[in-house]
Amino acid sequence: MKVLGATISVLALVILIAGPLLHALGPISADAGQYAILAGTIGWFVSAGFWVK
Amino acid sequence: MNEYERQPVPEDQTRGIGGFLGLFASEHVAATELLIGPLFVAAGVSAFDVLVGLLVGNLLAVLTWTFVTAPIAVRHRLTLYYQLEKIGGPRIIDLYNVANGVLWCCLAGAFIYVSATALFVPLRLPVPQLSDWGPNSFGMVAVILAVGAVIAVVAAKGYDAVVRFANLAAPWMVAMFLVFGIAALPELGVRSLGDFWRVANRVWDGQAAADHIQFTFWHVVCFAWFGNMAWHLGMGDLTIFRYARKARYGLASAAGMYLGHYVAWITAGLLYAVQLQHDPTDTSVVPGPLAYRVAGASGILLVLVAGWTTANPAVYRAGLAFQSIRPKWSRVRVTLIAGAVACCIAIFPGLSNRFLSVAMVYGLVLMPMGAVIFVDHYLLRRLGMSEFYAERAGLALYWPPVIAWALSLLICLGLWYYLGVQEFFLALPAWPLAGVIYLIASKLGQSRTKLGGAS
Repeated sequence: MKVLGATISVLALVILIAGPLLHALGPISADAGQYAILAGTIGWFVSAGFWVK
Repeated sequence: MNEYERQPVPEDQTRGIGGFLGLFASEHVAATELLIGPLFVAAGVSAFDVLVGLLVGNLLAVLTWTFVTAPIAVRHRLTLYYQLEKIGGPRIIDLYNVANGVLWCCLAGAFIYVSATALFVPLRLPVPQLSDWGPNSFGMVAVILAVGAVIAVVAAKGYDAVVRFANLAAPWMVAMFLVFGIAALPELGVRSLGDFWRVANRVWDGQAAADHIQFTFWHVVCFAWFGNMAWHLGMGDLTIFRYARKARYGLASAAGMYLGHYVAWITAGLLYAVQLQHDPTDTSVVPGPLAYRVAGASGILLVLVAGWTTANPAVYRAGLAFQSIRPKWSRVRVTLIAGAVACCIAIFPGLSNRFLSVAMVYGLVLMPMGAVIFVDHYLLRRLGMSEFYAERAGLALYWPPVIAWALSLLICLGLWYYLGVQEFFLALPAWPLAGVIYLIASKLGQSRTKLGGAS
């Protein structure tokens, strides 16, 4: 579970940062960027509990 | 679990540098960064001042931790409190705790305010302006008191769950500050690296807001250096670095300085610039709406979590500081009272709007004790005097540290009031001054007979 949790956490942070980055580079809208931030945030808090001490 | 509060940390309990990197990174990416970044913009710093001044100031802070604080911590491996008690006697800890408790209440007030501003957006409350000192609506007071009350109750009941949650949230908070920067830059018109400098000069335009001190390069350097002076020059982090295997682990403070006091301050400043771009007349520094504009609901959550996870330990520490003066007092009650005081402070946004000065005053008040510890460690024995004098002489209160503390602060007050030396620069003369006063007072005050002829 720890490895799975850590993997999902890393993915969540990637999504969190990728959202605004993709908006800055052009392909997605500001709203889509904010949804990505929200998805990354939820992903982080759901998964981090499995591995953060 | 043994916290080694009244004994040196054993060598086999010391730790590697990894833990210190994580600790500093999480401690220094906090609620107040959301105030400091925008307040730099309001203080009229220029782009060069902020980008280079912060590099230099943070480097000086890291070097101070590494070459001033950590070597003493590693040599004695004692908490600040116990080391101070050995030097000045148990009564000096009472004085220190009163000062510390009052200052923690002020800081907790700012943290509660930051946390409460997260609710200003969903509740559509009018935001206080940069020049406001008092609350501007009943709703604002009610929200701050409600948030503060919950924080105080949690702190009073023991906040282990909050500590666990803070550890959980720390990496996410660092990522969110990066997100703020990435999301704000296109809003400000940065489409390529080449645009950055042009936009940076627009964001940090060198024009201070009304009623705010005009910052220069040297203000930025000194603020970055002395913003945490209670912890490095004031030796607060002896308590942390006594666990360090080597003194050079002081370099781990760079993780906190460059993530929190460089990246986070700059990105928080960018949030403020986005707000000013939307409405140049809206100069309010209110973290909730600032974060919501670029990061939506996650931005609000960050403000709430960052404020909460810093306000809770602050109220707890304030309560503990007051309670340690009279151990018979109930810790729960004292913490609740400290929380109530912090709430009363939080409803005045003027404190948060002047947070740059508040942070300086906090450090200045506690900093002289660091100079006393430094002189006691490095100079007293070399000059034929005794270190840890109160412990050796069995004194409840040894006056030289108190004289150094009071006199250096009085001189600071005089420099500020009569000569107009701003609070951002006062540590430069005050720290060595406190050390020299302690040295002279010790020379006059140390009696060989008290130690039975030994020194």
